[in-house]
Amino acid sequence: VTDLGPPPDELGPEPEKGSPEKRSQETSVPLTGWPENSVIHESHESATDPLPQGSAMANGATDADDATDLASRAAAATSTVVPTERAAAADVESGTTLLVALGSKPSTVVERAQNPGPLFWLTLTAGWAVIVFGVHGLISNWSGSNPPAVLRTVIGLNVVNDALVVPLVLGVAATCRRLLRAWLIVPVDVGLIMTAVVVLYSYPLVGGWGKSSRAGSSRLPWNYAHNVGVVIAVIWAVCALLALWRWKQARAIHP
Amino acid sequence: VPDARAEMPPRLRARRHGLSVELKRRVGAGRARVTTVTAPMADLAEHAADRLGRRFRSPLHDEWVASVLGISLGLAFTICFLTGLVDYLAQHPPYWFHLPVRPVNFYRVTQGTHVITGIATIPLLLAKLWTVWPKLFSWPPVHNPAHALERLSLIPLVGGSLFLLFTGVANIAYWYSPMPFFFPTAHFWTAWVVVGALVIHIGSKSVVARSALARGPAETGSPIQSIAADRAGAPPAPRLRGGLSRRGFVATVMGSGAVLILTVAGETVAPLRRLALLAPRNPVVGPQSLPVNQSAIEAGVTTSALDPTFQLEVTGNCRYPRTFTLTELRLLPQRAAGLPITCVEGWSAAASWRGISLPWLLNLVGARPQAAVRVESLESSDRLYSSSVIDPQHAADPDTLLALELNGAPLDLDHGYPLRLIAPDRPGVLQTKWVSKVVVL
Repeated sequence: VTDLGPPPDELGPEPEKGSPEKRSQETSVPLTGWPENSVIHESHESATDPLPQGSAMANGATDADDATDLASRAAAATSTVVPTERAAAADVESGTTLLVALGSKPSTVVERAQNPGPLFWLTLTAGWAVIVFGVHGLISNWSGSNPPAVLRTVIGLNVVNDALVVPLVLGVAATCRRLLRAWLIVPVDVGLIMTAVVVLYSYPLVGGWGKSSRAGSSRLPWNYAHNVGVVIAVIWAVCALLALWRWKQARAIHP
Repeated sequence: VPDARAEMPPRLRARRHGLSVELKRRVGAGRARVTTVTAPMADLAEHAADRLGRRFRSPLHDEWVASVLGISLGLAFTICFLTGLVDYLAQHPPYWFHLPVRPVNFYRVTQGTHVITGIATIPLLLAKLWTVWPKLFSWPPVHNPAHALERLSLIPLVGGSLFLLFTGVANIAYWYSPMPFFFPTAHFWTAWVVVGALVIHIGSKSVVARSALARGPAETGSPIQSIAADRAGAPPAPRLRGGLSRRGFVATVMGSGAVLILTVAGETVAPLRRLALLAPRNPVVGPQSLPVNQSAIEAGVTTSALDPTFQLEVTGNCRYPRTFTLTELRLLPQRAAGLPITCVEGWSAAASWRGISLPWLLNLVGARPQAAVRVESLESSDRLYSSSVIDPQHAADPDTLLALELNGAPLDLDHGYPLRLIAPDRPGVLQTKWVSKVVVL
């Protein structure tokens, strides 16, 4: 079971087999164990070559029309199951396909949605048991673990990541796409990702908050600001070579 | 048993019936009012989620990328958890756990692997969180109780994973101010929470991941985009031009991890020492070409360790308890051993040590074979790790030394002068420095 399609009431009337509305050859296959009116629509033409290697899209197309065409072909290639219940849309998400994977096909979609597989329940139960064990450990070692501080840090990091870091990264990426030429986007993306990772890791080292004259010279022995600069310079030198190579490729295609 | 209602006076029965009907009417009206208020809000949220979902047109927010990164993360976390378990138990050994004496580098390998793997996990985790970020806006947020329990476990999974990496990096950089807790305890128990959440995540996503990997990177769409498109009956939005491919993105993330490994691993992997630009330690920088984790000044032993009347006291469960002056200790048979010193912060370095073999000394004072031993430092007894217990296996090993020399010279004060413990396969914090007392247990 791959992608679960929209409920029939949102699809509108189903086109007849072989009608002009369907551009490619199509067969309808009853799905064993599913409601009688469920069918698999499979586009053979696209399925054999949904996104050919070496195509414009696979190579990072610059032509928006090509990309649109290829994307619609790719979308059409995906086998689509049309179930009778909206609950099926949640099905893959919630792991209910495990029943199918384990060879136990439930009779209806609703049953599948409401009755996740044994592996799901096993891991859910075991996982929550381990979580409770960990929380118990934190609480029973209260003086050392300081659970309120741990909770604050856990939630704070969650919020910082979801509300600050990811939107910031998305914003930077969108800006790069808007400002840079196509051949330059990949090298800059690579450089930015690697630089961000290096800076994030080395932030406390550069800050030098762990340094102490009482601790001796072997603790944090380097000039980390300098070293981070060297590492970032090497990263961007490699990215510059990558940019040069991509520029030559772009020139070869569009002289 | 007579029916209580049957015995009820007719007026009271009618009144109760009236109240019940009124209550039901009011509840129904309340529900209708709530629905009137919430239904437009739910529609609005769904519409907003749809619109937002359509904006994520990057192919990098798809199940193949999430699966590859997720599997890599799962492997890295498993390695970190198992090695971390060994490290924690070695540092805070319960009665049933003893690190093996051989191979002498076992703890060095597990601790080094733990720290290096943890550092390499940073880009993997951030990339994975970025990839699946659009799922935050999937609507409705939960589909059924099982899905709710699964999604609830994402809070400890995401927050706990970030917590482990953040505290781990802060700890190896000796940055303790953002950690108002004892690092090993909080890190260890939070790791259990994360592992539990990871088990749930694996159980709920394994089929999706297998399916995405089987289909390959070219045939899967953005998850939230698919949901939004499904609902609207529209095909996914076209892929954005240019930019990293899925494989390119995964390679870049892995490459970032490789950069960190190359620039940090040299603190424990000798051949990479020259590349260790971002390592908190260099294994050859320090007094006598060996790093120091806690100096004599920090331990507050500069006066007592240099006292010319220093004596080692051997006492406890032995027939001939006695004391030794430093001169007497130097006259005892000496044994040399090449042993690594390994710190919980991940650095390690091999060195050549020379001193009195502990089993030989225990035999001299008439201790029973296979006795456990406690060594005590000149440090104040209320300081953490001012003493450590040596299990019988380590106490009986001839390479467990009360060392007087390091790399052919008397111990530096910061390395534990006049006398320190060095034993095979033990955490650095348990290699007690400035030893003044040996107690046979």
